Amino acid sequence: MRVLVVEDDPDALELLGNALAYFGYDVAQATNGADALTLVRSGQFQLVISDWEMPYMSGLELCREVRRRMSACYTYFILLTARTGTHNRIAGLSAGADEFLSKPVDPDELEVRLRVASRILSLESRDLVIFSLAKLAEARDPETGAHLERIREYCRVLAQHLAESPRHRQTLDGDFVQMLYLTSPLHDIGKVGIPDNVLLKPGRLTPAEFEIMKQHAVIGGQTLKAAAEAHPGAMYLQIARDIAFSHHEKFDGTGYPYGLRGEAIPLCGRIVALSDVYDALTTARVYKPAYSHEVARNIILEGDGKHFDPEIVEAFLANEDRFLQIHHQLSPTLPLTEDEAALVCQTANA
Amino acid sequence: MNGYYSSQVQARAGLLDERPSSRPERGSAPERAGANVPLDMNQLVYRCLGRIELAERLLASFESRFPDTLAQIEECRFTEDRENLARLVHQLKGSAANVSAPALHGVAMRIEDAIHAGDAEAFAREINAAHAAWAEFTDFKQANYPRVPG
Repeated sequence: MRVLVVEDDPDALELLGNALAYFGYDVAQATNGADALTLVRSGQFQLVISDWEMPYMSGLELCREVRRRMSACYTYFILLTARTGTHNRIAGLSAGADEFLSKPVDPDELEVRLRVASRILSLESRDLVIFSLAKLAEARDPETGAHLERIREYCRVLAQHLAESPRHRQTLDGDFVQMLYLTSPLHDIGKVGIPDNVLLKPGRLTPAEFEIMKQHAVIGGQTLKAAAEAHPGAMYLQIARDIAFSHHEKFDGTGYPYGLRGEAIPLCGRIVALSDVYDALTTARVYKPAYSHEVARNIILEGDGKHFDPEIVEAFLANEDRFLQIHHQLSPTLPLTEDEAALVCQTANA
Repeated sequence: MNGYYSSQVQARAGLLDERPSSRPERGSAPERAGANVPLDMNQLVYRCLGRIELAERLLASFESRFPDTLAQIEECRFTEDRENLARLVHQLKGSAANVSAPALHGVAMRIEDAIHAGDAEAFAREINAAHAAWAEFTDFKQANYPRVPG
């Protein structure tokens, strides 16, 4: 992350710059508010650390100017000050400062304040990134946009059930459930790299075409992996990456792209796998009609321990009513009954 | 969630690369020296994250600037240039704190208080105290850190 440090004392500037570089930040420096404002306007800085007392333009005025300008993303503003007292804090916060740092700067305090800043900034970028990528995935997906809505609802139901189970109670929490809910719509993001003649083909794919289609898991996973590496603290990118890579893996190791088996498949991938298949079964596709919940349930039970993690199947069975409810709320067409589906299957086999 | 996730990361060799290794451990914060100590070298080196050459450079810069700033403060008081007076005293206080010079920082604070209170007598007294504290600072540094340039 690039940090702009504004300080009129060259020694204090050097000391702060040294600490920031030590903590791994890319540092730019300004010795007055006017120069700092020009740099902020370049749009390169999401984090500004400014001395309060400076000639010509104080840190307080600089902060007000930063808040006044239109910007694509939030600028986190830390005021450096030796001032104490509530009225000074109120003045700083009123000007738009997010945080204060006591002078002279203590490296330990600086490090934790920066961690807070990074956390808050990553929350903003997280939602923007997920939203943008999900819209991109939606635009390339031949299914309806409601597919993504349903998937994340199904995932949330399954994850909530697991989080309450004795086995996972200590390790899965509301954050995991929420992160899965946010990132599951990105499972097929790799489809942006699949050619139209395969992705949009009406009807079944040939084996060769299916091989091409299978690449979407790797394309999506690699894309999100690169993003996760660039932002090691962004947990949501790591979960999104794992989902993209592993949502077509099967519990018995016969899935793709890596043939992972059992719990070597990330839990988030195992959850999305069942949700995705349930949705594919219960909604109409260009190559098949929508099957009823009962048909989908039977197919999922057949895949218990083979395609699907038995624990996830158990969570599904315990929440069938919620799956049905989500399906009815978010599906544009009614599914076939069991008899209708059987008829369809017979016709297809004939 | 972190507990869950770390176990997942370990379970999936091949999908992930190693996270970048952390940088070397730095020392923990030393106790602050008393308010009358001329120079708290341990604090300064800690705040320089162990970079002795940076600490030396900051001290050298401070020593080259302090007498001049103090002289300008006296001149501003004489010419009643209030704006520059406040700025220079603030600068003096900040630079003393920056190099972990508690005694000089304390005197600078008292000069600032005297200006805010409009107390000419206290101001004159604290300016004298600043000169004395400065002499103590240079003596202390010479006695304890003779190799540090000044």
